[in-house]
Amino acid sequence: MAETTLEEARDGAVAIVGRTPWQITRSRLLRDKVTLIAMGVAILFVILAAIAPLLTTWKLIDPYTSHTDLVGGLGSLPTGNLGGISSTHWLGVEPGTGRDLFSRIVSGLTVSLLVSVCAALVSVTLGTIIGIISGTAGGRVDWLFSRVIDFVLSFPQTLMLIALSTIVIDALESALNVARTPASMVFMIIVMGFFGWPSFARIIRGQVLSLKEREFVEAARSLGAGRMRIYFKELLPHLWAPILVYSTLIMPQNIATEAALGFLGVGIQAPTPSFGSILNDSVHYAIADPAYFIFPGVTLFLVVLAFNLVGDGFRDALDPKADRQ
Amino acid sequence: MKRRTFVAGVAGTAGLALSAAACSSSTTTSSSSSSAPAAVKGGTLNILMSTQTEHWDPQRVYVGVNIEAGNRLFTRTLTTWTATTSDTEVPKLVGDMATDTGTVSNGGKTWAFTLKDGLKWQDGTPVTADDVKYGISRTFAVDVITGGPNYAIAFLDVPSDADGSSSYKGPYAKTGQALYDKAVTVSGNTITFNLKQVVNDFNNTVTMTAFAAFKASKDLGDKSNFDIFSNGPYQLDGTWTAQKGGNFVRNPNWDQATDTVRKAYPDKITWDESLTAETMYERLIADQGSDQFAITFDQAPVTALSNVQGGAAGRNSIVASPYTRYLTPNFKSKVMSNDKARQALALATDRSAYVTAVGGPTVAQPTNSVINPALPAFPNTPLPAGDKGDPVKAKQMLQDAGFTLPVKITVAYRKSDTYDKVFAGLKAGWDAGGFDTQLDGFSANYYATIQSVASASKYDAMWAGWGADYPSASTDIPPLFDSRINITSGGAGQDYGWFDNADFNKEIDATVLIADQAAREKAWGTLDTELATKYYAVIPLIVDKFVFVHGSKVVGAFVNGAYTGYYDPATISVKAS
Repeated sequence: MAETTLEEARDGAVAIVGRTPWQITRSRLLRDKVTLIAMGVAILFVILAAIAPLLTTWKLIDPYTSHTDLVGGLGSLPTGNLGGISSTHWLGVEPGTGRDLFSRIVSGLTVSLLVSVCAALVSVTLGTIIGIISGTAGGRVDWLFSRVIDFVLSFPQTLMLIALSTIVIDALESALNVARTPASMVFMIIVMGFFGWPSFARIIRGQVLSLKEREFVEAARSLGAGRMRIYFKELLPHLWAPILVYSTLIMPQNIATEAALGFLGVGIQAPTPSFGSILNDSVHYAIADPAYFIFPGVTLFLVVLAFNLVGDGFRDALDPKADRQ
Repeated sequence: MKRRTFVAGVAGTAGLALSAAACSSSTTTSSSSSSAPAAVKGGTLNILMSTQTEHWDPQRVYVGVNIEAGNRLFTRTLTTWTATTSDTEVPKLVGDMATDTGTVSNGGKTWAFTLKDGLKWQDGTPVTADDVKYGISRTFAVDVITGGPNYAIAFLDVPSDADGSSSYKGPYAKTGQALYDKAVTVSGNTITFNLKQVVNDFNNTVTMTAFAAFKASKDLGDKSNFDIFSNGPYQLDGTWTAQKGGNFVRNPNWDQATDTVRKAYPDKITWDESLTAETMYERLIADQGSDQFAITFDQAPVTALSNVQGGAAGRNSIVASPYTRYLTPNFKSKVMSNDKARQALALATDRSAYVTAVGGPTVAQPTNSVINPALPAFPNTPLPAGDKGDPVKAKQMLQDAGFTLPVKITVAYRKSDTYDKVFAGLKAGWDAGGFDTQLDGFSANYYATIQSVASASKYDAMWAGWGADYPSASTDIPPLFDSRINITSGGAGQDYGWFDNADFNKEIDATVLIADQAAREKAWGTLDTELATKYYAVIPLIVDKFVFVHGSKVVGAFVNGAYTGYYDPATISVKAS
């Protein structure tokens, strides 16, 4: 769609064309080069993460096979420059085992993104539902939900995660009858999802408080629309902007939290590669084998940065009046 | 009974040949005795640690580090091992508080030790034979004095109750005190032990601090855990803080004339156990300020190894450790109760992956014997299929035995960054050999967990480590594989795989009775080989080496490999500045 400037319109060269909010958003997004690049990078990472299990099946990447011939010397460090970079091992190999670092980072991306996306879904769904109910219902229901939000927000999240991890993961392991890795993934999703919803529920509640006074809601109500219809047919379509922005902004937060917890030895553990478990091991090699520390670190940085920029870009495009501080 | 992996000393009379050979190929220059400056008195020695002390109570100490440091600084024993002047020298057994290494009679069932004159506690009161008797009696209070070795209960001629526990309940309950007084008698300066059985090396047993003296008036039971009451050259300055450490100063009541082993050069010794292994070794290698006067009893983490030879040239030691790391198949597991499954697991074990993950062939070697190469009993059992194993043969064996591949197994190991990699490598070998391996790594209460009844139905195989308590394989084979002393209703003891074989137990009984020491040790070696190649009750994995670094102004830091495998503080001094 062509740009329509005021001058052109006044001159009558182009007729004034009405545009939907989505069209406006899209044109704003297309002008934001940084967001576009970030979106490209983020999409690349997502695709890579999505096809990594396939690549492993097709033997294009191999995160588990040891290559003891590629490490050597006292301490079994990779032989060769920059952590053993070669045409077959693009980012070098892991010290001690010789496993391919590129494969491990890509597989780690799958695990980290899967956990982060699921956790984001949990918190956005919970936050939306509770925010809408709390905002429309008002009165005692609103008061109760608001206090619950205060309560959850005041919990020390990281400490809770560390304290609960062993017990809850053990319980999940026996309850779901799965191995430790899936059990700890479920644990991370539940906990990150649970601690993510309250701040979002507050945003939604605020939006709903103003939306519910609007004429279309009143009209629906006076026509006898049910509560569910008002929630999901009348209010929800007006909440897509904050939902989209919040989802993209909570993603990098979740990725970083997963990495931090893996780093602290909670959550997903070796031999399953994830950003957390890779960084947890590589930090000890910061001096002996810096490449092993730098590559996963830089990748994590790029992923988090890309998702953050995309989230910021969405916010600017959807709600340019928002205070950007 | 005894305890596992961190455990105490080893080695001795024969064969440190392996460590000697290995050391000559690598570094171990420390400071050679010829060029080293003469030791001088004075200065402060700093001990840096990343592992925390669980007990200083002599009867509760069973970790090699604490046996070594405790004995050299403040807990003297009846006999002890001499300090060495190189990393490979074999120490001699000498009298410490006792005038000599003991007098044996009654065909090896009665041992007597006479105390030297002039032995004093830090408050100036004399150390008496009754103090020694009282100290040893504390081991019998098994509900209070936990953690230490149980040799006193096993060897002293005190009858047992119907449930197998000793009829003497220790100095607090005093039940059965008369029985103990009969087994251990004191006459003047002489203490006499009457034993249940022939123990020809009982004078080695009493080198453990569990046989040290304890002053009855200072005994607060469990509360005495960190109350160091010294009769050695150093005493605590202030108090010991758990997880942090403490400072030691000279004990004015210790008389050098009574002591042939400890030189006690430094005036002060500080002990800081609040560090992490990585930062500690970065500091030791950087060698700045007070770290120049520092030693450690913790081995270098694998991440620091590459920098040890270059960054700490002339200040490092690479020596054989007294430990063997092994895997026990669980005889209570459905899969592993099948002989062929255990044999296949042994065949598919890739020891080369293990060696690489812990830091390479300089610091670890594959083995197929539980007995450490430093012991005379070492049988050097050949590996079933070389360093890498033979997964193809293993797979065939499983198929022939009627298993549906892949065979699902769960393996427990003590978790660490390094061991995650070790087991990733082992898993690859086992999976190639027809298994589908599920790994369960955890570090909290590792040994207590794998010996529990719950683990018997959870794991198919378990990793463990063990070092002999003194240079006899009688502290290897029975403590680990004699079902009668290990398996109870409460768990598997140290027989983690629930190996329970009447024929094997008969062989143990026959071996204990062999009078000739050399023949007896050889027989232990034969039993070791049978375990690994006939019963497949154990899959020995590797023997590793300890790597240590000390500061540049520390003189005479030698690893006493035959005693505990750590730097021996008895002869360490620091340069004036």
